[in-house]
Parts: sequence; structure tokens; C-alpha cells
Amino acid sequence: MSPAAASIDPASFGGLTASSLALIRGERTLFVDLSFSLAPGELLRLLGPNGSGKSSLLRSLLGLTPLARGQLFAGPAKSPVLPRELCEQALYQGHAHGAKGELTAIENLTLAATLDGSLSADHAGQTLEAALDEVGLARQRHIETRRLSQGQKQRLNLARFAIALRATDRPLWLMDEPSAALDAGGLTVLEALLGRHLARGGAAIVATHLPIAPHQGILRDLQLDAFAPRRVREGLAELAQ
Amino acid sequence: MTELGAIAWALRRDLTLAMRRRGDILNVLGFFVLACSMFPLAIGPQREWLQRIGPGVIWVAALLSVMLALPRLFEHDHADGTLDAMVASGRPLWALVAGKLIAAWLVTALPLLALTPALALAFNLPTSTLPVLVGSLLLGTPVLIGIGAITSALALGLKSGPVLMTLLCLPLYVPVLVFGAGAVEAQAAGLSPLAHLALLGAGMLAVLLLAPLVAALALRISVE
Amino acid sequence: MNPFRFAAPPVFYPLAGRLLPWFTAAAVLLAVAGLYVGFGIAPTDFQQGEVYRIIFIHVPSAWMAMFIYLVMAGYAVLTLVWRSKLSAMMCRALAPTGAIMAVIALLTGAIWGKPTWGAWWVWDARLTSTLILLFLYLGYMALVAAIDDTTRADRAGALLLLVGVVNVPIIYFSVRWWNTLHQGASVSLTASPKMASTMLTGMLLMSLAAWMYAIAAALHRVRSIILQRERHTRWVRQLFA
Repeated sequence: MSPAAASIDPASFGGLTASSLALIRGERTLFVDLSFSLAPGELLRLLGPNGSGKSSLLRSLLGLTPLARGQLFAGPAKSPVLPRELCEQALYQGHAHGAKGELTAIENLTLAATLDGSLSADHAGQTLEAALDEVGLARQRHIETRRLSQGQKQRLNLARFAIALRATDRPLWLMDEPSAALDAGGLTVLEALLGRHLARGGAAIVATHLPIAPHQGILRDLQLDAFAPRRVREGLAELAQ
Repeated sequence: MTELGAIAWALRRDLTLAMRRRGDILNVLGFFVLACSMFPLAIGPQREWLQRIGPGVIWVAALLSVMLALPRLFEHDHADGTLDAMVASGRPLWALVAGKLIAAWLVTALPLLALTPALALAFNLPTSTLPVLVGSLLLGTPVLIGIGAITSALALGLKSGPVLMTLLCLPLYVPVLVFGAGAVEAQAAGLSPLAHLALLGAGMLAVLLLAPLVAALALRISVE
Repeated sequence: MNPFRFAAPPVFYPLAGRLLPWFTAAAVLLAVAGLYVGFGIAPTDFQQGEVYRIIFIHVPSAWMAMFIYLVMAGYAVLTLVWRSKLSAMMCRALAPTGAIMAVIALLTGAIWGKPTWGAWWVWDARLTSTLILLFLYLGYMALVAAIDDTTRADRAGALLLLVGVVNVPIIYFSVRWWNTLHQGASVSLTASPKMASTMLTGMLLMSLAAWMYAIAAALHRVRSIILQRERHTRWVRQLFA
């Protein structure tokens, strides 16, 4: 039995609009003039070959990597927002697993969910157990994370998102290759979580190679290599000033 | 999550992790004792000599022991992605760093302080200098950890990271060493160590306020 | 006329090239004049004989080592606050010159110390501080060299410089304290007798010469750095077409 998901108030989360984003990593320009908009209930799939900037785009939305150009707008009034401010409304899963090997699965989940703010003091234990159960790690909850397989570690990440379904203050999910190492069962769990998130009014941007297709929500694609500068080195001159 | 909540989160987390890797504490203590032992072995066990160099040797050994434990502060988190998660969480990064620094002090410096009286005995230091020795380390080790946190954050993830970090760190450690060991020497010479300790105390306050902020900035630069 | 226009590498590169010969000429002329005054005109010192003349090299180089670090710290502020690329390049251009000045100060200090105090190195407060300053330079250069990503290297180096510059007075103060405590009366290399005005003139000329040299060296080096960083842009390709 999946725990009930809390609806996201559309008056508080109006979606995200990105306008003319450009990003330089070292001396390479990854993308130029990239724009997209994301409404509540939509999933944006970032597609493109390795090195096209999918991870960098996700990181730049949160201010982990600085944008060379561009503006972000969020909220129901589409007011300008800084990437650092977006962090508070976003739940980010990066490339690495983001869990401490020495801690057990449930300990890692507790830490992550507490940091996210999606774990309330009462019923915390039940919430954690239910989330681990939902992603299929119920029997592994007291096992040290370094002894879990890659797929199980990835499922542990999904548990964090499962808990977040009950909270309303992180309506934007940013996931970098969440399907990596997942088997068919894990992929189903991922799609189910995304579907429920989209159904309650959340939005998600997912960098992926596999065709992730939740049953609910509107699916949109963004081909990143379409925004690569025509001559990769040329963009630097204009952008570097 | 409030700032205090963030500090508590990071503190509890790092203490739990330290308890799972209890070997690290033994490494620090072992290094401390060994480093101190090198000197009598090198120059001979004459009591007067050891008494003369004791405060300096203990201070240098404590300084190096703390410094060697510092790369661990952020490297593991950087490698397994938890550092990115902390930066992306939207929580005040300086507070998370402050929690980590407090945990680092508890796990690294406190055991050293506990062992210092034994080493003071080994160097035949007069008992009147012991409170000053422990007091100067008490005030000085937070400064060492604060400065070390900044330099290890700057050298995060680099191949030559730990070695580079020591090159960056040691020049900045000089004032702490001078005032810390100087306090004990003053006491041993019959002078007042208060001026030294006051300067150390001022340094500690400055570090408590500034180090988490500067280290957080250094982390953001390194994570880019 | 917008002064910030000169902060753009394509504009600064030719400007630096035009200024370079002037500063080089100034450095040479001032050095010749200073050395003539110092080694030719200034009278023999009553106590120290001819050896003291080394201060005409030692003092200016020590001053420049300190001054260059301060200038680098100024550029560091520009790098961090305004993300100015040229400021970061100027930091990198100045660092080797500053380090060389520190080395010259240390070597000439030792050369002076041997006949005067009987030892090559006496742990004098000023020399020890200069030694630590040299390590600060080397640390900056090592950090910047170890980081591949140029943006990260620039900003990390800038932060290191700012932390260093705040510490420099503290280091200097602590070393002076340590020195006076342990050696009582100052065994200071600045304890020279009241200077004849010609000696002051000589030191001033040599200091100005060192300053002109530092600017010339930095301009020359920054031109190489600009070319290397902008090697893929159109304006550089046109330069060498």
C-alpha cells in the first residue's frame, strides 16, 4: 500500500522557465541559447550523447555550476529566480549515489530525508519503513550501503523521492540518470514514483538514456546537442566577456 | 531546517561516521605519540634537553596530527556525492560545514588533548606548565581545524590533494604555533602566558565566526 | 571612454604589447642609475664596510615581494567578486615575479648575514617572514597548477590569496614577537646605522626599478597567458593568420 502523496499547491509552484541559458566548462562551451519551460505535471527528459551537458545543465539549475548566460523564472508569477534559490524547491539526485558506505540503508535514508525536510518527527520510523518497502529494499534496511549492489543503491535513492511525495515544499525533481543500474522492477518503481509526483502537481527534469515513461503526466523531450554551438570553440569569444 | 538544525544534522552525521571508522582516531593518536617519540630518539634522552624542547615538540606533533586528519573532512563526501547533495539541499552550507568542523574537533583534537598530559610527563615538563599546555592546545586546535578546512576545501578532489593541502596550510599555521608553544615557554620561564593565550583566544573566535563561511565558499568553488 | 573595455583580453593584449617596451626601458634605466648610486657613489659604511651595499638589492626585492602579493590580492578580489578573467590572469602573471623577488631577498639576506653576523641564516624576523611569504607564493602557484578547470583554478587561487593576505600581517607580527622573545636584542638586518641620503636615493631608485621590472614581467607573462587561454577564438587566429 503506497502512502498517500500530498498535493502541491499550484499557487505556490508555477513551474520553471529557462531563457537563453549558456554554459562553459573549462574552455568548452557546452550549450548556447537554450530555453525551455516546464509546467506543473510535466516531465522534461534531457536527451543527448555523453558530454552534451545533461549533467551540467541540471547542476547549473541549482547553482552547483555557474551559468555563463541566461535567466531562470519560477513561481506562479514567473518571477526571476537565482539557481541558489531554486535549491530549496528542488530535490536533486546526482550521478554519484549520494550515500555513505559505512551507514546502513535506513540510516542513509534518514539522513537524506531529514536534510530534505521531508521527514516529520512523528511517524518517522513508519515513513522510512514504508519507503524502503515501496522500492523493494525492506529486507536490506539494516545492511551497510557499501554491501549493496549498484541497483540496490539506486533504489535507495528512489526511496528518498518516495518519502518526498508526502511533503510539498520540493515540487521540482532533478534526476541525473536515475535509471542507471536499475532492473525492470526498479524501472517500474521509478516510473511509478514519477507518475505520482506529476499527478500531484509536481514537475521533473530527468537526464536519461533510457526511455522513461511514467503513466501520468505530460512527457516532453529536450535534445541537448541541438543547442551546442555550431563551432564549439567559437562561442567562447562572445561569452567570455 | 534552521541553522542550528543544520549544524546538529552535520554534527550527528559526522560523529556517527567517525564511530564506524574508529581506526581513524587510533591513527591520529598513534601518529601523535610516534611523532613526539622521534625527538628523544633523535637527540638523546637527557632530561634538560627534553624539558627545553618539550612544549615545542608536543605542539608541532599536535599540529601535524590535526593537519593529517583534515583531508578526510571533505574528500569522502566529495567522492560519494554527499557533498553535492549538501550543497544542492538549499540548507545554509556554512552551518553544515560548522557541524562537520565541530565533529572533526571532537574526534581529532579532543583525544590529543587527553593524551597530552602523558606526553608532558614523558618530556619531563614541570607540572606548572601543564595547564598552559593543554589550554593553549584547547584554544589553538580549533584554529588549526578551521584553517585546515579552508585549505582542504580548496584542494578538494585533486590528485595531489593532501600533500598540496599541507603546503597551503603550514605557512598559515605559523602564528598559531608561535603563540601556542610560546605560551608554554613563557610559563616555563616564569613569565605570564596570558598575552599568548589571549591572542590564541582571539584567533579562535575569529576562526569560529569566519572559517565555516570561508570554507563553504571554498567548497562551492571546488564543486563547480 | 569605458575603462572596462580594457579588461577584455582582445583589447588588453595589444595594449600590454605597446606598454611593455616603456616599462622595460624604465626598469633598465632606473636599475643602472640605482646600481651606480649604490655601488659607485654611496659612501662606505663605517661599521659594515662594502658588504652593506647588498641592501640596495635586498631591501627593494623584499619590499616588492610584499607589494606584489598585495597587488595580487587586489586582483583576487576582482576575480571573486566580478568574475573578471583578466584579473585572474594578472594574478597568475605576477606570481612568479613575486616569488623570484622573495628568493632574491632571501639570498641577498644570507649573503649579507654571513660576513655581518657570522651565519648564513639567523632566523631574523624579517627574513623568516619573507620565507613564509615565499611559501605562500609557492602554495598559490602549486594550487593553480594542480587544478585543470581554469575557472575553478582562478577562483580557488583568488580565495587562497585573500586568506593569505589577511594572514600576512598576523604572520609578520607573530614572527617578530617570536624573534624578540627568543633573541632579546634584535639581530635585525634593518639595524643599519642612520642612512646617508645617497643611500636612501640608491634604495629608492632600485625599488622603482624593481617595480618597473615587475610590471614589465607581468605584462609579458599575461600576454602569453591570454594567447594560451584564447587560442581558439577568432581574434587570436587572425593574429597569426
